[in-house]
Amino acid sequence: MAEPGGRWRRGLWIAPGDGADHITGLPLELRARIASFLPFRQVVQLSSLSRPWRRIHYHTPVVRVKLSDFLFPTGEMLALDEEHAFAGLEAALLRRAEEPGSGSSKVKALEIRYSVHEPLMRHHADRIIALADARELRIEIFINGRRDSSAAWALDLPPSTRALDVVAFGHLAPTISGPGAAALENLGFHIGVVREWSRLPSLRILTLELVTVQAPFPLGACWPLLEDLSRSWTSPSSRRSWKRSSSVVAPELETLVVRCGRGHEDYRSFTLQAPRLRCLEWYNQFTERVDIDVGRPGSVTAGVIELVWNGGRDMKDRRALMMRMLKGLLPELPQEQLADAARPHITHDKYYKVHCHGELVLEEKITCDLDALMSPLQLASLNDLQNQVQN
Amino acid sequence: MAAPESGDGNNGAARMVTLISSDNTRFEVEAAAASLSQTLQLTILDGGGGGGDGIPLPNVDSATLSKVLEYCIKHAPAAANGGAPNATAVDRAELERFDNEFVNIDQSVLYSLIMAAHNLEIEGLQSLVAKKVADMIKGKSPMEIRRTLGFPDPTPEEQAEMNAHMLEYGWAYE
Repeated sequence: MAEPGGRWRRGLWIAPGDGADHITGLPLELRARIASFLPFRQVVQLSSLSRPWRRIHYHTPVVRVKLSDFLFPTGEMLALDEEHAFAGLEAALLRRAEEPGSGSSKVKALEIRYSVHEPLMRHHADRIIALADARELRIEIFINGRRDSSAAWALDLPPSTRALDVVAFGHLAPTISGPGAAALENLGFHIGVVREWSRLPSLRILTLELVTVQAPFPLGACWPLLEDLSRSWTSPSSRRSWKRSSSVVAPELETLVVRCGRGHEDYRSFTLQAPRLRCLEWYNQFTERVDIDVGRPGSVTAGVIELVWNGGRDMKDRRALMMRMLKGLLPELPQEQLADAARPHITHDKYYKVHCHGELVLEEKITCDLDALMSPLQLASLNDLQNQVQN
Repeated sequence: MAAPESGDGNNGAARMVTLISSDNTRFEVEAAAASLSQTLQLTILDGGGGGGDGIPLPNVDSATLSKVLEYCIKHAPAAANGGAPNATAVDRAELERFDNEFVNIDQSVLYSLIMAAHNLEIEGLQSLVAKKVADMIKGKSPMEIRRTLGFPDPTPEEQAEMNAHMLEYGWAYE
């Protein structure tokens, strides 16, 4: 199988330096890896290159399809041509699924972009998702003209899917069902609105990025196995600034990351009940009331609390919130001792930041390093301190 | 924050290993850099490559190996940081600049690199080179790709097959 111009020596392919084709000589697995970076349509085109490329589209670990590309430049669906194109795409995926010895022909990840509000496009998207039966599924919602972004939509997960990411660009999160829902382990939802939560009994990791949450956070029964929760909020684009309470009750949760961007909503209260929590990262979410129950005092040993502000509120509020949270993590320590113990690990920064209109704004930030504060050494000395107080 | 000492805690002196290319050139490199290769990491953890022994790499020539090690040395500090969550934007931008320049090379070198990265199981380098080749052909028609990759001109039979393919998979060409 040596290509013209090259030679084999002791099992080593010596590449010719003449600008000839070297890529075809690569094993199918490596060519498939290269093709994985291309849209699936182009991967199918690659199968026309020459004999060694003939089955390349059955072997790319990643399949990328943008159903929006199947639209005509006017953005209109022309039913007949679309149907023909979708049928061809689906036939290719079906043949791939039926490929014997389906080891390397199994789709590892499917990336699909479609409009959830075009019935025809969604129908085909659902079929493509089912045919690919990918372990990882990434959906990007495509916005075609002015559509109602608050319309509910459903997503049927195929049996192999373990990880799902949805980038919703302001749309609602889907309700998740289908054979894969019971097995889903990792869910990420980005830039959108959550109005109801799906029951996902195997979920371990949940990431919410720039998400507006309008539903009460569900109890442990909804996600009994959740270990890792990252949340970052955004406010709705309308100026509707209703204050909400948030509560997280998760028996298996080990990591909680709460991150807020600019223009976020403050919480009236935040309740956390997570007996197995080990790591807490809290960025910039301000709340008037905080109620933290993490089981054993001092069981959270890693993380950070960071609060950034400009103008609006003063330092005192931020420090008070920080101390309320630390109090939740170390409830048995008297207030003064806690303040003494925490002081060396809290830093205060003041700096100028360029805002969108080019103006310089003074920002302030206080940060508490939980790793340092809660390190075993520190805990031991805290316990001593406590004993001294008690005696 | 100080990076944790890798390996045997040799009082600051980084542990070195020797790699021997297919054409018998010896390369001495820090174990932390060589360990970006999953294959080498196992050998190194077993205590190989130290002293006068060296690890023979019969599938990698010296020109390719020096290129591979250039990548490993540049990426080792970030990799030791566990994907570098603490890396500054400047560090990340510098790595990106390095990567872009690193793959700005002849196709035959890309080919040798992708094979070496595969054999040595260097995940980041495999992706980097694969993406570079993909970028070279992205958005091009099959005929343009043949030219880009240096295929010989198609024989009449190949041309006929390409035309037939276009008819059969019309949806992929529109």
